[in-house]
Amino acid sequence: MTFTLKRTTTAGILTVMGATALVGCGIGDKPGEAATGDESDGSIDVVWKGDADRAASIQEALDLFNESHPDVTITTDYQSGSEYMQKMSIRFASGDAPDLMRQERETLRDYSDRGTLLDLNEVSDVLDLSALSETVRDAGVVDGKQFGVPGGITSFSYAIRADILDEYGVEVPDMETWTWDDLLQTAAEVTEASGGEVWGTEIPVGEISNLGIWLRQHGEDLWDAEGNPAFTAGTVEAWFDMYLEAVDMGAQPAADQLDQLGAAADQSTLGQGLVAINSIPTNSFAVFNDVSGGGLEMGYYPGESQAEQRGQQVIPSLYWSISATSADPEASAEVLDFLINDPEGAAIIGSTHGQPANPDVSAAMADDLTEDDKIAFDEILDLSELDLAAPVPDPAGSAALRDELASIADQVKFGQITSAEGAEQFVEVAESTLGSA
Amino acid sequence: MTVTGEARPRLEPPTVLPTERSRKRRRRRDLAGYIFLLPWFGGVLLTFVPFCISLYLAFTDYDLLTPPTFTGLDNITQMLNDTRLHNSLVVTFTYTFVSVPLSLAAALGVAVLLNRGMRGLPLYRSIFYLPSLLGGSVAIVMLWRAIFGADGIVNHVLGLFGVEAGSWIQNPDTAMGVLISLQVWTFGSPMVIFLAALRQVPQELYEAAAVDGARKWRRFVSITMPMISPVIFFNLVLSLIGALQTFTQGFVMSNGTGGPAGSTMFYNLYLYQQGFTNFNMGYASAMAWLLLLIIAAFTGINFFAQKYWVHYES
Repeated sequence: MTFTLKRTTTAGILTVMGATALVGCGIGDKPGEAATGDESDGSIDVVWKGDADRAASIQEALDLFNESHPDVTITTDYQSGSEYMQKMSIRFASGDAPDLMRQERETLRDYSDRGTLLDLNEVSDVLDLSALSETVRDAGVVDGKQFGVPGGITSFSYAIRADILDEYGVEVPDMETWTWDDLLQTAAEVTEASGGEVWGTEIPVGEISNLGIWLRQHGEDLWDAEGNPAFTAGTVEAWFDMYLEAVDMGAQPAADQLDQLGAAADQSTLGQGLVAINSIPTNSFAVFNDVSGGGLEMGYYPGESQAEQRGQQVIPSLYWSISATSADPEASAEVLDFLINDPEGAAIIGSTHGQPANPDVSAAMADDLTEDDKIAFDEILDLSELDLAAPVPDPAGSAALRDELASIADQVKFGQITSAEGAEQFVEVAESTLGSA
Repeated sequence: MTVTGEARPRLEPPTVLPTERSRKRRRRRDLAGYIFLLPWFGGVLLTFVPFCISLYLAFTDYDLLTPPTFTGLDNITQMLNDTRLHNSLVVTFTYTFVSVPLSLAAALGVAVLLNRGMRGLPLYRSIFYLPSLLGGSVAIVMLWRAIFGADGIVNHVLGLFGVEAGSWIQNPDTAMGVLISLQVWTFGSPMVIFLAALRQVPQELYEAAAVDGARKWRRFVSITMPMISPVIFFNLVLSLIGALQTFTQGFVMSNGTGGPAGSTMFYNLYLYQQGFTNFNMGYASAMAWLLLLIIAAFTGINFFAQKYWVHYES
């Protein structure tokens, strides 16, 4: 084997390899053909986000639908994680939009504002939304058009590892009336009593839904119905300050002392017993309690009973939407109606998407629930009966805003900027990103 | 790799007219070359259309969902004022200019050690090469998270010496260092190429130098380095291009956020966020073209500078 490198040879090899690498980085898709409708091939494409377990239950429900509607052919696809929405945008971009799909809270308006979703009022002859409460139904309305139907409802709640507090002799606070100060005090006691084995809490300072609850407790909100920012820098600064105070008190670990492995219950710091008090999605109570060894108690956010307006909300856990280019919107709407309203069909999907949006369905399901699921159902039911701010669909740009908050909060956590500077920055990015579509 | 003058057509001296026979032979030789190039042409054809479309999209407002509208130079103006983009360039350049020299030095160092001819060389070579097969993979980045986490191996070892440290990944000051260490660890591919080049350095040069009384370091600087400089150049250009295009490491380490505090927001990660999360595919296309220009510029500088330090045998 001869290996004689000459200038031209090296240059040649590099040019070829370099060019290949460069060509590879040109990202581009064929411009969307949103205007052209899909050819009707007599089948409905249903896609959703989730794991194989959820897929099995949705498939079972769809099979049941087919028993009474043998003429409708259904094809399916699913994907878990944030990749779901990326897959979705590519399908829309390539003119291959699904007929019936899950939309996220953050993305409903990204799609509806661009005219890619069907106003479900147009198929109201087959899709009956009358059983849903007005608040729930309106959570999918943009400019008077029903672009999404909540496929389930949930909220965020606070959860306490009562087993850990008992172990260290710390009194479990009354979650009906507790304040943010109570949270910090209790948390600091846990940290101290456990000698640093367990941290009291973790203020979810960089998580936008939690900031939203804090803002509403102070009479503000992340955005208004028009999608414009609806908060002041001072309230955000107070949120950041509370985090810094919690670290000072030892109520919560400093920014680099605990790693978040993942969002799943068994990876969470709460589930692993590294932190005693934290916020969880209400409908996930059963899994969190399971990994916590059954010692979990769930209740209101701190400060709810003292606030001028309760900050917690009952929010859609997802939306179901139909593509504006669907070749068969009627059949798609029939499938959707079945998933929302059919006592059997909706029951098969069960609580995987939170509490069913149709109260008749959840009432029918209540008897067969496990004890933990019943706790979650009752909590959401209890919240629904309170005077809560009605959720509006997240404005376009909210996904970018969510990332910005996480990044700004990181800088505050590590002292790279002050809480006042962080709040100021967040106001600025909110003004430039929200409603920018 | 067999590279000789045989495969390439040479220009005959112009005074001698080529005979019919030699022209035929040359055409046959050319044909072989083109056949070998076929897969490359196939690749070019496949990517050519997206390539052109992305150039067009760079001058449009395109949200993936509605047809693109031509906006002229708007995207470029926006890029000039986009502080997050500037931050992502700083991150990417920092990563590139620290990790590339370090990993090439590590690769060369280990190659020199392995070149001394020891028993079990193939085994060692494979062991050192292994990380490059795994380095870009998601599993290894997850492993790295476990090693450098708050409760990771690194902190346990430091704990033995009484040093208390937090998570190296959560801290914006150290997250980049963790990624660079991962990159340096995967020096296997350049190492294998260095090793092959070291083998090609004629022994008699060393012998002659030894007779003249040159010590080890002197021999390395005056013989080894110039003799393998084309290979150093080759590795440098490729590593530079690869580092500027880094995506996976930043994506996995930060769960796709580029955090903490934007410290692992690589250019390509930001491009991806703009295109697929924020529905700014026009802007993302413009960013892709800027990256192409940056890479072309660096590669151009490298080719220009090689005449000062790269030594070719012929």
